[in-house]
Parts: sequence; structure tokens; C-alpha cells
Amino acid sequence: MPAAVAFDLAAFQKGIANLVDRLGCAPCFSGADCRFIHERDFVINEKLEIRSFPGASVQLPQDPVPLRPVTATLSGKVGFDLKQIQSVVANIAGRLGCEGCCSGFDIHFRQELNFMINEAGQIRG
Amino acid sequence: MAESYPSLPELGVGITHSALIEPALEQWPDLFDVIEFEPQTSWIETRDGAEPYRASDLVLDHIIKLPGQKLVHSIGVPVGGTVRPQPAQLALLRRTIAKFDAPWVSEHLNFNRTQEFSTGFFLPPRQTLQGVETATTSIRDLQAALPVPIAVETGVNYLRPRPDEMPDGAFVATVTERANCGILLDLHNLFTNSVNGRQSVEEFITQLPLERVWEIHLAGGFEMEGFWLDAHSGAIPDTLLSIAREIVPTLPNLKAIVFELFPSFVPGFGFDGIRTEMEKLHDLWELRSGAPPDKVRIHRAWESGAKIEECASPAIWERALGSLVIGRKPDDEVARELATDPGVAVINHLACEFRASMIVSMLRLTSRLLMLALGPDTFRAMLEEFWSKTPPQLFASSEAEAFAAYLDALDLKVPQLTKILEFERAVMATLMDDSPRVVAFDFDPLPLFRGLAEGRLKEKAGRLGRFEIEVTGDGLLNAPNLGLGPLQQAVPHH
Repeated sequence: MPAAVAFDLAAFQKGIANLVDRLGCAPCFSGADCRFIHERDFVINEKLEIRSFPGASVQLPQDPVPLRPVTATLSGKVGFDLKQIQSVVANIAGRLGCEGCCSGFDIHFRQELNFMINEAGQIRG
Repeated sequence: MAESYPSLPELGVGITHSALIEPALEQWPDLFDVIEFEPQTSWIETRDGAEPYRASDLVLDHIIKLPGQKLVHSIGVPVGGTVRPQPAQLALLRRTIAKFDAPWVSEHLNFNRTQEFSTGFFLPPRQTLQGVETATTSIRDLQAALPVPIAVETGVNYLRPRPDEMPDGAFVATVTERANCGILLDLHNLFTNSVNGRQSVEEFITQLPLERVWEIHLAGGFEMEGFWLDAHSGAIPDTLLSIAREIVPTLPNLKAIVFELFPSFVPGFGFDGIRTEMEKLHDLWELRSGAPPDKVRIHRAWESGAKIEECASPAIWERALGSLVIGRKPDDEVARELATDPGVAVINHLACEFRASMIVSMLRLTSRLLMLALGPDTFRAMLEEFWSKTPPQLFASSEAEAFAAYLDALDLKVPQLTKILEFERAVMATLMDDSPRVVAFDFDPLPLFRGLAEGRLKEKAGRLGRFEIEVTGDGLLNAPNLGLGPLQQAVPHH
């Protein structure tokens, strides 16, 4: 998983959702374990699509309980719209460094609190 | 003195850069003659003594390709205090200036560090003759280290006016004349100061050497707790725009007008809002006179020789104000007197919100887990205790790492917290050094991750087993196409 993906929650959420669905959390549970046996190692590619890791062994039959390590690796290869790539570069770099010049109020924390609290004023859960 | 002024190109109007505004730059490139870049926002703090900061050539090359001339607006070596610029920052500033071929560089007439700690916020300098000397020395040091002329920005000040300080405009005038530098006239800062009970914009202007003004900043703000905030949150107030229309024709050496919009407010303000403000700036730009300096009427109602009782040196002032702003108890006479100023509490509040925003941005999954498990009020209390024990860090990565260390020390019995925190620290570390890291879990972490991303705590833990996530380092500088722009617009709170 590229750190850039893990760092950005929107992309992270989408990648995780795709992977979880692929692992067997899709609405239809039937066959999930089977898919898991077949594809224990995964790569999330630059389109946030899930693929089998090229080097992962595919052997049948195997223990249906996943006891061996499962590694999910997101590919960091670039190959798409340059404009969007550049936006990601600047956005992530901009969040790691100094806060920009502002003598006011950063609403980021307030937005996060608002996201976590529902219409009834209660914490999600 | 006109002959001593540098010959600078006339650039036009523009905006401060953030990645979030780039679709507007792409859509209306002709509206932006200038893009003002704050280089430290994109630096990585390496924690390596030999090379404490790293700047990405990819980021700089990307900025160069954006429309308009690039200006460098430094935010890391303010010139209003006793702490001298860090050599490592100066080297990167020189590199940025050279890359952009920037005709001048601007910095703030504030301080953000004392000899002991960072303040996490730009604070007003000591406006006395000693303060003038301090700032003048600092500007000269910075000027000597940089290859282009410097303009200093007129700052915001939430404190009450003091009888032992020079008027705001007179202080700026005296400093810039002695240091022989330019002025970045931040009109929203002056407007904010005026609304909050300090010097009026009109009086400030009468005290200023107008021929030194090379650049104007304009922005919007909002009211909070009885104070107008320099929040860079949206549209320029109509009153301020009217004032600007009167001032612009009096500035013979005006070279650029820049609109400031803080990234957090971009999704709410929208690209059409940006376009509207840029059109206002273009109209304003047409009002400049270009009159030579000797034909401009310059008022200086205040003379630097006026008597002022200086009860605190700049260093004492910085320590007292800085200590209060980072939440320490007043421990000397100056701090006790300053603590009675309601503006100090406002600054403390604003500085804490910036710190909290850095933490939830960098450690979002951890923050959500804590809020879900312990409640937002408890999370806020933890932040406040952290702030009371740990001074602010200038870089978001360091602030988050300090909070992570604080959480480690607390040893909270929150299920999965240790692993979530380990994962997010690995992500941060990999973003900073590009080295891959593997985080091992003894449960399937994906349901937990998914729940936190959705703002929910899963009732059932993921299945047991050994799972690993490898965080790879080719994400930051060669980031894949994730379509983050549309995603962020769709889910702006992310």
C-alpha cells in the first residue's frame, strides 16, 4: 500500500472497501473463503483495483483458515492522468509540512468532529 | 530614497497556492498572473541534523508548470523576533527562489519561536525601539542570505493596543526604512486589527512609506468570540474592498495583489467563489497609478523619536507571550499583565485548533478510534493535556509524532489502538523517508479500517490470524493516480 494511499482517507477507504469486498465481505457471503484461498496475497493497483499479487502462489486445496501471513500491497506505479497525479503530489506534501500562513481558525478539526457526530448530536458507532 | 529601491517587474494579480485550488487554475488560467507559494508547507522534516528539511523537486517542478509568475512567500523564518533564521531553511529558500526565478521574497514581521520553544502561531513583535532594532537586524540577516529583495508582511495582532508600544503603522514604517526593505501590505490583517480595536487602516496607511509597498494581500475572515479572525476563509469583505480601492492608487511601486484562501476553506468556498474574488482583484489592479514616488504624498504622523516606556525587552516579550499562547501559567510580571488581555485567550484557542487539525489530519484513523471508543469530549481533554505538556511543532509530521508518543506513554486500554497507531506512524514515516515498512496484525485489520474510514466502530473484530500490510514508499513523490480531487470534493471532510 503506498503511503500516499494510506494517508488519504478517501482513497484509503475506497481501496479498503474494494479489498474487503474481494476478501468476502460482499453481500453474498457464499464462496468468500474459496476466493480467499485462491488469492491470499493482493495488490491494490493505481486504479484502486484489487489484483492477485503476481508472486503469490495459488495452490489448491489449502487450509480454509488463513493461518499464514497475508500481505496486501498497493502498487505505487504511475500511469494515468498527469494532472491528477500532480495534485496528489502537492496535496500530500502540503499536509506534512508547516501549516500555511493563516492567523485565523483551521476548521479541519471541527469538520472531523462534525463528521463523527450524527444529527442527534451523538457519536457514531 | 527612491533611487535605492530595487527595480521589480509588475506582475499583476494572483492567489496563494494550495493543491485544492489547482482545478480553478486549470479552468481559468488567464485570471492568475501570479501564484504565491509558501515553500515550507511542502517541506519534509527529516529529523536529520545534517539535513533537517527536504524539499521535493517534483513539487517545485509541478508548481512551476502552473499558470503565472511564481512568488515565494516564506512562513518559516519570520523577522520580527530575536530568533535568527535557520541556515537549513535559508538554503532551501534560495533553491526555491532560483527554481521559480522569483523577483522578490516575502516574510512575516512576526515571531513564531522563542529561544526555548515554538509558538505554533505567528505572534506580534515587540513594537518598541528595541523591537525595531531586533527586527531590523533580523531582516538584514535574511536579506544577506537571499539573492532577491525582501518585503516584510504587516501582521495581524489580536492583542489590545498598549501604551508602551509604537503604533502599528509607525513600527512597520520605522523597521522597513531602517532595514531598507519592501512592504507586503496585508490589508486583511490591518482590517482585522482595526475591527478588533487596534489602529484604523486609514491611520496605519498615513504612517507608512507607501513607496515601499510592492505587494498587497487580501482575504476574508469571520467573527468568533467577539473577534474578527484573519481566517482566509472566503470573500473579501465589501468594506475592505472599498478601502483597498482608495489605497491602491496611492502605491507607486505596487507589483502584485494576491488573494489568500486557506486550504480548509476551499471546498466550502468553491471554485466559482475563487473566480469572483480574482475578478475583483483584476478590477482593483486597474486602479494602480504607477505615479513616481516623488509625486506621491506620504504622511508620517508618528516620529520614531517619540517617548515610549519600554517595560519589556523583545526577548522577555516573546517568552511571556509565547508561554501564554502555548498554555503555560504566567510566571513573571510581563506575562501576568499580558494574561489579562482577552486577545491572548483567543490566540491560544486559534493555536490549539491548528494543532488539533494537524493531528486529525495526520493521525485520522487513530483520532477516530479514540473518539469512538472514548467519546469526543475525552479525546479533546487528551489533546488539551498533550498541549499543556508539549510545545507546538512547526511541522505537522512532528506534531503528530509528538502526539503519538504521548499516546504511547498513556498506555490506554483501547482495543486495537496500538496497532492502528503503529500503522499510521508507519505511513507517516514512509511518506517522509520513502522506505517501505511492514505492519503486522494478529487480526484481520480491514474491517476495522473500513469502519473507521466510515466513522464507525465495528462491533466484531476481524478474524484472528497473521496479517501484514506493507506500506510502500513510492507514494508521495511518484504518487499514483487516485482521482483524489473528485473524491475530496465528494467527501470534503476527508
